[in-house]
Amino acid sequence: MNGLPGSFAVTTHGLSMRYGRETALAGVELRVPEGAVYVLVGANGAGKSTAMKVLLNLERPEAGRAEVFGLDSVSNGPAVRARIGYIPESHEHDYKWLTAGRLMEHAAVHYPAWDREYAAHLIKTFDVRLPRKVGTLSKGESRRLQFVLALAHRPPLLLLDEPTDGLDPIVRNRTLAQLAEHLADTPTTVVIATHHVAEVESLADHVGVLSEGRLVAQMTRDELRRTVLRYRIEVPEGWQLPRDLRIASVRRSSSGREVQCSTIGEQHDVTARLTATGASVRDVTPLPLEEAALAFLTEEGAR
Amino acid sequence: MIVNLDSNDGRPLYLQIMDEVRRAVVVGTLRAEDPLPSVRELAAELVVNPRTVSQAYQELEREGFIYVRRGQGTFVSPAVRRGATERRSLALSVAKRALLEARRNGVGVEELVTMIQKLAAKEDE
Amino acid sequence: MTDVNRRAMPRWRNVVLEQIRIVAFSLRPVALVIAAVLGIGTVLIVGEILGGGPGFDSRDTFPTALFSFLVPFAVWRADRPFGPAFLWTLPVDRRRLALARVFAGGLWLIAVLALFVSWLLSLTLLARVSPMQTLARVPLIEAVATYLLGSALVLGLRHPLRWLLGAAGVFLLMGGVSQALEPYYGVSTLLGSRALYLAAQHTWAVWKTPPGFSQWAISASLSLGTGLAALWLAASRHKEN
Repeated sequence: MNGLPGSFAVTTHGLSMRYGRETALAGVELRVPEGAVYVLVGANGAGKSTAMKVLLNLERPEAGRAEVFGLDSVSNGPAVRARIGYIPESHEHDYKWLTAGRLMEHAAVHYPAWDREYAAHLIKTFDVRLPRKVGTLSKGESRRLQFVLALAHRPPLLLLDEPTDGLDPIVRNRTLAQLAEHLADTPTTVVIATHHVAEVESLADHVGVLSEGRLVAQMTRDELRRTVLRYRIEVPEGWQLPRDLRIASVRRSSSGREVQCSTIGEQHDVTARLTATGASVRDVTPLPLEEAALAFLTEEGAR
Repeated sequence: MIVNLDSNDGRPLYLQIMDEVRRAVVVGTLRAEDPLPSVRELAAELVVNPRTVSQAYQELEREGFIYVRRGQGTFVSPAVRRGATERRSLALSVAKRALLEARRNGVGVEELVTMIQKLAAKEDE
Repeated sequence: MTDVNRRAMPRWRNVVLEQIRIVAFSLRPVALVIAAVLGIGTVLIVGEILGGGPGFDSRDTFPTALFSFLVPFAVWRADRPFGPAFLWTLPVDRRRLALARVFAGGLWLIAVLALFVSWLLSLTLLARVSPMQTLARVPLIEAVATYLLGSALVLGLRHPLRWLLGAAGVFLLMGGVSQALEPYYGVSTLLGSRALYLAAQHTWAVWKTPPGFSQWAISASLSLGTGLAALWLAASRHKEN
């Protein structure tokens, strides 16, 4: 892996992890291309956070391995972590009695790539008060400090676990805008795990959907747009949904003559299939990122 | 130039951006030799992956709509006028959307055209 | 543009220096407590001396070893060695980082001990008591050894306090059992509890009397050796591969 097109920033091979009876990861094969903004979506479970922790070697998987820029996350831990900027799910910092400024100095020691000028710029943009003790910061300010710490050394990989959590709505947009600027200045691969999918929709160009530990979908935003569509169709009396279609959700009008369904598949094929069963396709629309990703989750559930 | 992205629009973002730039030219907010916002600026403003903005700009450059001046940024091509080609491609966009809406609502093409003409006539009054 | 292949790693010298600075922060409350205790002590002792009393006895012992055993709990109070601590997200070898932290704490401990010793020496001058005899009662090597042991506990065990309480409990139990089984001498020896209890008493006694050089040397190497070995094992739990 060396910056060639088609190389991956993150690769996992058969990653599996369980917490007691809960399956966090089951044979996950992540492929995050270099330079991508990859949004990891999934129900509230340990999966997304665990995947990131495995990359940092904070968790040891039961099976499988992970590579960051071709380096194994276990045998090359320090080298891997030198290339990562991490925002954990928790907004708390460990050294509560340090001031924000002192904590930044602490981080700077360990990352020779730390850009002091950029750090100063980030502090201003994110409005972090340096003399405040880290333990006294509000949730939002704590989170903004985490942003500064993660971005200041311009790492080639950013792992953001619910980055906008704890930030109020106005700040959220500003934060993501700053992230976009950062991406323009620094060639970065970003992996964002989040529930607030709509917020990151415009930034994302890759999507991964985790359902009960399994990666049920992984594709570019464009592919997703082409593959998950909402069909509005007119159907004859007694029409039944064809079983061989991957249908995520269905709505029938009270008269029974109009049906709306979200389906996974190439438009050409699905239309042909629907028409073959006697339905007439009136309308096909793509779905926003959140709904499209949800389709894979509900489809899994329906199986 | 003010760019708005529609989250309900199903088209890839870079296409939307391209259309917005074309629209700005046709409407007159952008003129020949006017500077475009940098990739960085636009990405931050729209909260969009800078690569998407780059893609849009590259496509527009390929079409000859914009060009890059070394060290100074991106500008609208001098050849661009609020001319027929741009208007036509925008008109095509608008017409596509109208037709889609019509179809969705079961409105026939002729009916649609008649309605549009009627409305336009009313506005002129 | 950063070449992904060449990402600079921090120099160990800087990492260790930073650990020394950071540990200073976490030990600040400890320092305050010590300052308070010594301050009060000084007032009391000097007061007694001025009042004509002895104030100070060369037979007094000081719980330096116990104190040093507890210092690691303060050094590591912010990080959870077994968990996603910020410490472990840093781009450095984890075993080495843990050892660097222990080393940093050790340096500060030695500084505190040096301070304590000089405080003690000045008091002995005031009280006109033999400084050498007094000093002999301060188990400095043992202090370092117990610091190493305490560090090993904090680093090596997920729940060091539970283990400590458990061990203390077992000890007390054994003591109680051997007392109860006094009439049945044979049985308690068999159980080994008596031997353990006696050994503990003996060790405690050894600390109380100034030993000869060879005795001291053996005891020092044993305790330091055990401490270092335990620490190495504990730190290795955090080794990545």
